[in-house]
Amino acid sequence: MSEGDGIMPRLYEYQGKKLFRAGGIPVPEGRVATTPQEAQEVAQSIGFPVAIKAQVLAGKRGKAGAIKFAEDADEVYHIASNLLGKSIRGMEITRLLVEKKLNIKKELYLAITADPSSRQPVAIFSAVGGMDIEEMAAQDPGAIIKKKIDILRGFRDYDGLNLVRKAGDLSGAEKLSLAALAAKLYRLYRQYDCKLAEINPLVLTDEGFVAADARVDIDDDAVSRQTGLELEAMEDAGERPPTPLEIAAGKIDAFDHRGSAHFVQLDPGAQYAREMGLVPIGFDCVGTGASLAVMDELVPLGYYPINFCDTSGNPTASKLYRVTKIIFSQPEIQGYVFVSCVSSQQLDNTARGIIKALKELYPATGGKPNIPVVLAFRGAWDDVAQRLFEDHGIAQSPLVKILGREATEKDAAEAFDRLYRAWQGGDKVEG
Amino acid sequence: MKDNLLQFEVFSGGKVCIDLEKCKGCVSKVCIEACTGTGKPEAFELREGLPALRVDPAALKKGGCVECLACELDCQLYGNKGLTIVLPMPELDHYLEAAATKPVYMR
Repeated sequence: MSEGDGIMPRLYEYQGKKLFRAGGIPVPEGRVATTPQEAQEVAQSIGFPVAIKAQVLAGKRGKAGAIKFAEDADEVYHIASNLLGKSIRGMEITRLLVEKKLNIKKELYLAITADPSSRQPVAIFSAVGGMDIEEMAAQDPGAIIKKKIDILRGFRDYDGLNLVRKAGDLSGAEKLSLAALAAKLYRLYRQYDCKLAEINPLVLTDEGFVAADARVDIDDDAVSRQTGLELEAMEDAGERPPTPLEIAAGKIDAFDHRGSAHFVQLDPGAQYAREMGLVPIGFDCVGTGASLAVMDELVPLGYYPINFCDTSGNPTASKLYRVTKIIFSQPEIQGYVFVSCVSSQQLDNTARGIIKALKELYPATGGKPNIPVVLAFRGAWDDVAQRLFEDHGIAQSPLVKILGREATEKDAAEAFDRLYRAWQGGDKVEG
Repeated sequence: MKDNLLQFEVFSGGKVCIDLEKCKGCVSKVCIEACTGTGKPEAFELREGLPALRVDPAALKKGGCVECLACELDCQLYGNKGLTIVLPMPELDHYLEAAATKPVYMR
């Protein structure tokens, strides 16, 4: 892949279609444009009418006005000028996919994704396409057909035929074509270590089936394997592009699999926290279950973790060092909470990473922070972890509270609340 | 390698640097004791009164150094502050350079 900037594990439509084309899945003729003039040139080269589609990682682009149709070059210029530079759900439109408008006879849905309950890939088909699978499931659950896939046996054309055979208003030849397409989509899913390979809508035209849209999500843990895609290692941020801090955090686990450090900004800019009247704080937990439990205790007290972070699986101290610096680099935070679950990982290493980060962030005070900090170490080597903070003089700060294995999630949240209130009362340490 | 500098790279990207001049004035040589990531000496041994590598730097770069950071932190507390570990984060550096609002630790 060469178009565009760094490629994220969730691909844009034009990037997904490039993989589809290479995998033998028909896609409309088209190219990417970044200026109105370029959009006109692409449209003229492929012929009118054309579809002009904003390339953003948001669903329901049609409803959001991000997909338009044009009959001539002037209309292309007008639409492209209107779209470029605008934002869809906070995402700026910098690229347009200009492609031949399809003469659609029927819209269908086809996807391969992972089924966490059976730990298998699953093929999903519906003779009704064009809307979210969740909406489809709510409106007409019977319209969705699923087939779990044995990863060792694979997915053959006849498996595809079993999947689509109940689509009553398709001819036998169309079903055969659809079955072959499903098998190709599965091969693509496996080849690129996908979490999701989705065609919605898959449209029937006079020329056969064509993927009118493409959603391809690569498993972010497989980034190091997918060297051909030139993927940027970064955290999966869902329905938005990753932030610069998430991109920085994504590098931590990119090729170093000694434990993990997953960091996602739940509320970049802390806008939600402010709207809700909550105090934005930085946050790290060992274990996602503990994260949820601690968040449940913090929010009623008036504090909102604007990031999620899970440093578990016995990460190296260097991972903790790096991710702690990233958490503290969120400008809006007014405190920091770290809580481990009752973990078997070496919490002394965890502590060393945090201590090195604090000492570098606060050199003038030897690591004593200028915001309230609570650290709860519960598990293996938790006594060493606590002692390290004493030894390095950080625990002696009035803004720092170190807790041990006797502390509950509620204790940690309440300890933070006390520190924060004292800090707001003027007990501020200059950093 | 400079005569007075002992250094090796670590797996995650970064470098452990020991200023042997400072080590000459260190009584504790605590880095040797601290480097026990798996319960036994790992990277360092004492040779002619100074820290030396007991394994090939290439092996340390492959993960032989478990990056526990104990050598650096203990050196700061009990040694002569001769050991530093540099763990670069270029993406974070770029973010901070461009950030309109500085983080709380810079204020």
